[in-house]
Amino acid sequence: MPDSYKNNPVIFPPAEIIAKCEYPSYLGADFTRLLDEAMTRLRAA
Amino acid sequence: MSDASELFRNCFKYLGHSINDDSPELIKQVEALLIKQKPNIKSFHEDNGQDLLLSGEVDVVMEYNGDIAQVMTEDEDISFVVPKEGAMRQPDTLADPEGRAASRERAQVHQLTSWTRRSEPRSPRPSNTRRRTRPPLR
Repeated sequence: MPDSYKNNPVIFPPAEIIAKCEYPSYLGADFTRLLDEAMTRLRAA
Repeated sequence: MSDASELFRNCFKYLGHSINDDSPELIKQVEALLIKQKPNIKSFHEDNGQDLLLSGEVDVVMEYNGDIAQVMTEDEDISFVVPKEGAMRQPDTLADPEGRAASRERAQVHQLTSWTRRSEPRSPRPSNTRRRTRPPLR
């Protein structure tokens, strides 16, 4: 890969920024349903 | 974004919570927050935020860094920031399940994986790999 890609901070943000980010866990079907219902109400509001 | 999980869980982060907090009260809190902000929201877009940004239809989008990095090459006024509170990490993933592919197919899987990691645009797909149609969902 060229340096312009490897050193692009948009594609590879600095470690201190990544440290604040989280991977999502699957939180179950009930959680997904609650989010979908909330999204439906949000769209309708 | 129109994806409820990514939209709401990134808002969890904005409010100082983990994106893996599953409390229904937090969902309601974010719902109220977004409804309040709705007059300022043009669209819950379908992962085409970079196009809306590039066309000038919107000034700010919530979008994947890879998509924004691409349009940044076309418009120097576009930039990307991760919120100071942090955000959801969502990497694309290729899975090669152990024991599912024959050795010949496994070599093709690895070749295809290497191809997707190339940075050159429009490089031809390896000729000995074939597109598979996903079986219909039942």
